[in-house]
Amino acid sequence: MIGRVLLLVFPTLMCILAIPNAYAVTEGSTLPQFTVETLAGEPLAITSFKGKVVYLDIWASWCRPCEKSFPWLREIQERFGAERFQVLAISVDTDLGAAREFISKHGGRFPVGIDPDGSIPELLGASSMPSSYLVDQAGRVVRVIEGFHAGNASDIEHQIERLLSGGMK
Amino acid sequence: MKQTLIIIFGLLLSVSGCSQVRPWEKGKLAKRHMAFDPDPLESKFDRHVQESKEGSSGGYGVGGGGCGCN
Repeated sequence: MIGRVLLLVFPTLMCILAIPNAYAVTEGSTLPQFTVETLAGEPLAITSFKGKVVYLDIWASWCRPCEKSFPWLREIQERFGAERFQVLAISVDTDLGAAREFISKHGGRFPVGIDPDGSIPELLGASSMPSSYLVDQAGRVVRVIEGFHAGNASDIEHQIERLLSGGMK
Repeated sequence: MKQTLIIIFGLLLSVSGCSQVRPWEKGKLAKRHMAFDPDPLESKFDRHVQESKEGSSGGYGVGGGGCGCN
């Protein structure tokens, strides 16, 4: 009897626990299309960056690794230029004042979106903070980066270089 | 059979109360006052006062439980 109960309950529990990550964007998949509101209050569609290499970063003002990542985000945007490469930082802060204050301190020359409901990380199936997605010119996700580790920065930069030179499909 | 259904129903009901906090929903948990030890300096001072008054030390954290066995 107990064995039969466990046979029924165990798969049910597994299904329930698996639901949150069932729709995660993986490397090789196409980035879902979405529109995000910027800090300036304007709508910004991800499709507007088609043809560019995009580094999509999901961050929050309360996330310490996110704070560490911002100098590097500024650096790569400056280094690769806005013509063929774009950093898009999306804040999931519910406190927009905190997001604004963070950007006034750490922001760079890249657009900042706000998503207080977390609908975009939900759509992407983000599993950590920050979560970043390196997307190629065709809108294909080539790398999913969980968290921020300074040690991986140069590797990601090389990957961006290869994408920009057309050496990576 | 009835007993099985009752057990399953009870388990499912208890599972329905579970909620997974997503990484982007941890803003409140990341606040300073949510930490176990939000101000290490103040905690150290408090411990010093307590140690002076009680004449005993330790018992905080993992190591040095105050039993003299470490």
